[in-house]
Amino acid sequence: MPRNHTFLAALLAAFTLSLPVAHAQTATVVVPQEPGSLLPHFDLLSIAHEAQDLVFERLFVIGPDGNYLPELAAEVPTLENGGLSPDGTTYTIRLRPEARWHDGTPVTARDVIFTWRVITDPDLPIPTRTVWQDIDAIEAADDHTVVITFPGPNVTFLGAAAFAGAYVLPAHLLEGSDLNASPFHRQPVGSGPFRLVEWQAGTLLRFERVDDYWGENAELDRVVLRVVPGAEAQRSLLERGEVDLVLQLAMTELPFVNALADYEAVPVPTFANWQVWLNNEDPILADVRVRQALVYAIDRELIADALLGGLTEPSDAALPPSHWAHADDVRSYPFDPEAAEQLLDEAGWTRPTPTAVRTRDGAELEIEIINIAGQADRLQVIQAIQSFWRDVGVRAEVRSIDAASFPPTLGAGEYQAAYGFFGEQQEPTWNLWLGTNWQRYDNPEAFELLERYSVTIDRDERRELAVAFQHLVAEDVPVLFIAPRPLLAAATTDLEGYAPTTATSLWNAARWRK
Amino acid sequence: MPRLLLISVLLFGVVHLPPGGPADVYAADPAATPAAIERMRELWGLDQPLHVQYGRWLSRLARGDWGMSYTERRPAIEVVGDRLGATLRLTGAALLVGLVAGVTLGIVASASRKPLVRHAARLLAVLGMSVPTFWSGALVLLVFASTLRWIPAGGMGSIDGPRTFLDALWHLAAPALVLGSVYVAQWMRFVQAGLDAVAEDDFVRTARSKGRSRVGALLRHGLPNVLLPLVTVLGLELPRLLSGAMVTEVVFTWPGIGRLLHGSLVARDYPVVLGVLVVAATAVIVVNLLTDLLYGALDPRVRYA
Repeated sequence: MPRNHTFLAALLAAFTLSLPVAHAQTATVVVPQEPGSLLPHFDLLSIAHEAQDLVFERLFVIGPDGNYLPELAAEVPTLENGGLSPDGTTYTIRLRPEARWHDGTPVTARDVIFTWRVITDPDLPIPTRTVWQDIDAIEAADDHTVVITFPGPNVTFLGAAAFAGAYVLPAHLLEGSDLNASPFHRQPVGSGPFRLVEWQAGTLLRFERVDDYWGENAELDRVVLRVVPGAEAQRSLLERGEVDLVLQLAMTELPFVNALADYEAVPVPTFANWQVWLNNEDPILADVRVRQALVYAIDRELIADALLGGLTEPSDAALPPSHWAHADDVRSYPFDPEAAEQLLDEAGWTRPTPTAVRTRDGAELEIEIINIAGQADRLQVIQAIQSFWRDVGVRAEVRSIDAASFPPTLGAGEYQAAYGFFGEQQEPTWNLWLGTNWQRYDNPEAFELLERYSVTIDRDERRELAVAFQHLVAEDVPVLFIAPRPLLAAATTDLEGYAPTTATSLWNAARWRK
Repeated sequence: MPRLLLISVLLFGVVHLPPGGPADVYAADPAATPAAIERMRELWGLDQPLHVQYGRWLSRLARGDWGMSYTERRPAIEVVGDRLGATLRLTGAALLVGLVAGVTLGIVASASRKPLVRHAARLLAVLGMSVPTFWSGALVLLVFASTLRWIPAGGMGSIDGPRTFLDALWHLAAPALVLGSVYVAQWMRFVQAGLDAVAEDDFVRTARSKGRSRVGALLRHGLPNVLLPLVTVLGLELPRLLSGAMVTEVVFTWPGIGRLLHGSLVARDYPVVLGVLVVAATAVIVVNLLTDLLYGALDPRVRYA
């Protein structure tokens, strides 16, 4: 039998040698779009933030429970630990002294200040400068301490520094170079647990573990982002079990994912609502009774169950239930067609026959809803709304426009109603109201609450103001809230540690395991 | 050249026609000041009147500078260049598929005396033409990639495997068949009609009287007459092929310029959109010119004055 032993030994040796290769762990993540740039702050796409999350780090991150966790900062500044001054104007941020860029250079206060300078540079195409542009002074107290001063109390800085895309840039590599056309857009150097090793245009981005990462090394050897825009190809990859995670699936894919044995559907939390913007200056919609009737007329439970995958519960509050400042006892509008008809009668829109379209002074009650073309699930919801409104004598027409035309059209007020979603932040900036106000909501009392909110340091007091505001909005119905909008992801049951947050999904990819 | 100039005016106008523009991405940030948005327009030259923008774009284009992609922050010519090869491979293969299948079916339909065969060939071809590629592509993926697993679920090559010729062919087969199937019907009908027309001509009859079989006479003496005009049809088909590629590339995750065009339109990345369109327009014009020249070379009866 000696020959057999030799053979066995050889086999064993071959097996042992191949072990490291067999154990090279790769997580393959499907994304529907390709990031434009990996130089943080230039690309608004959430997919770009997911990719940047592997390479770069923020001062803080938002954990799955909605609380702040320190990342490059040593701790989250609060009133209690002195990181936030009692008047709410000054944040003192201590950085982790051990943090290093991939080339070994320490991450210092200079990098944070440089990042602020990039974000606020008027000659760079930075899509969002919110909060950062309000900073009065930013100074390095020492190499690892940054002191940031705002002109008045600021309650949104932590949220902005922890939110997707707020990554710290390496000053020593970028200072003095033209960021408009830097090779860094495609060859980034960060401080995170992975580095980009390959970018095949239109196909994939390959990341590899940084072995001398300053923190705890990643468990995985590689993360591959595969760019797959087609729904059929995504399905096929799932059925073949070739991928570990598919991000940003259409909600219509939920039954398909549920039927797969090796994958589970994961609702990704967001602070966004599906909603119908109403132009409050429109002659028909200026009447609060008409707006209230339009909500009463819609069976939102049915829409949430049948068309939004049952992953969401309708709510009449401006902040969805997943948000810490959500008001859960606002005036509610359960499905009640009779109440809707009564309100419309009161508003002078009468119905000559029980099936006719309502009229007032000879004019028909007709509302045009603007929709972003190309997404079947949006159209389904609008068609449901159309049919519910038809039942109470309101005719709705749909006009489809492309995504890029949507903001300017609503911004100019050239619309009656429009379907889409809007997302708030961890620390609400009330963009929907104070900023864009596409709905042209006009209630001085409500806006005063928001102004007070933005200068109140104590979080509990802030919550009370937010709740009071949500009560007013629920009375006035300037916007019809259909249901909160969770995102859908599909993950293999093998993948451990995946914990999507309202900010990003790959924030903790270093702790993933297969 | 004048044609290309006219096309460039049209393209530039149409691309800038819809409301909204790249700077609106910045306007969507409620904290953005009007001055900051104006600065962005200035930096990108979008504050200028449209005809000035066009003039600048054209003069830079002539010097090979297509401008910077707004989203990728690198020269648009590089962005398009990275994706052009994929589209050439796909459309080239689809053309080959359509041509081989079309000519073969055309010969079969014309040579066969059995009505059943003639109808079957025609049915097959018409089916290919009338089924939209997004549907047939989805079906092919479902059956052959998801269920039978004979083909990969899209892409131009294996993600981790070696980049061999066979691997490339394996990935190319399905999208090329789907895109090519659209053109089979046209070429089949063309070949069949042509063969039917020459079947009774004197030179075919002469060949037959010399003892050649019916099919042999058709192929040897009839087919060359039919294939010549096919060259022209080929040139005319190119625009349709390019627009078909746009859909096929999305379905099969093919990293070509069709998908790039779609993404750039959504993002209002004007330099890339215009770059892709200029490439497509140039290709159409060049191919039409080539077919005209080729025609002269192939057919001794054609002379250019």
